[in-house]
Amino acid sequence: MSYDSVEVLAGFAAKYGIQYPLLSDEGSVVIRALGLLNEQAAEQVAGIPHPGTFVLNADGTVRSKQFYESYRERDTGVGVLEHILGRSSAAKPGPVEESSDGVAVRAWLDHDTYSWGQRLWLNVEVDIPEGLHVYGSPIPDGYYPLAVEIEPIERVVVGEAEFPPAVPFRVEGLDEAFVVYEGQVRVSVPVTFMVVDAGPVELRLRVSFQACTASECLMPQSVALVLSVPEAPLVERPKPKA
Amino acid sequence: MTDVDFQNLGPAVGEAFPGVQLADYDGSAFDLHEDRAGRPALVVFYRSARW
Repeated sequence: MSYDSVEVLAGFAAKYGIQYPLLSDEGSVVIRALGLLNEQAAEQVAGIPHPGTFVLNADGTVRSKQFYESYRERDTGVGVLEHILGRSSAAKPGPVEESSDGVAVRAWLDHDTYSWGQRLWLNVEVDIPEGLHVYGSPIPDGYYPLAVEIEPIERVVVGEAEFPPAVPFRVEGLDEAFVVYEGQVRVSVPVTFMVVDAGPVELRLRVSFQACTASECLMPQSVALVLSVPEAPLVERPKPKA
Repeated sequence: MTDVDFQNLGPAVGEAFPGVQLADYDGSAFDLHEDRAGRPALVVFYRSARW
């Protein structure tokens, strides 16, 4: 939904082969009524909404919503499916993989390129062999939880990692409370590329963990992975001013 | 930007999303709740298809 006229939307739909409804809220009546009007947009851009997405349940109630400070930020199609609609996707473009202590770590982004303002999800999958577990957070001092660190890159914004729930675990003879992962664990980290004309970006990540059996812990380990992400050009858009 | 609370724009999670009747790009009338016919929907608000 946008404030464009039907004519503008018809041209856009024809040009890009759009099959879903593009609703014309000329005059921004619905945008205003829903409280989505961008009050700071003036003159020729007056009437634009804050950019965002609602997911509606079958009964018409709001299941989730996601708004962005800037229209430049946006999710990929797979990102919407997995993180807004909650459907898992089988797509694993260009995974990289390493292992240590029998624990295999693979990482991939949900899109094989980035373009300016796109939010990609970095997925890190950890395969823990039977008989071993790795610690999760929160964790008592002196132990090492499963963690994903990304080496900082200017104008590449790394959000908070999403971990699945870990299972409570008691260690014989210790009072401290632990939570652990077993089997396969997937951690997802949102990475927003606010860079343009930068060419391929190398995401360098370090996945650290401590693997334990029921009776003893191995040394904390870390695995380094590098994902090279090529830039996709913007489609027939003028280059943004830096 | 300033003090806009981006997590709380528009109808809240759990609330009924209001009825929306607008023209589709082919000029036909579109009723959000009627035309989605009992299916879930993704409603996207964006800047413009023109610029």
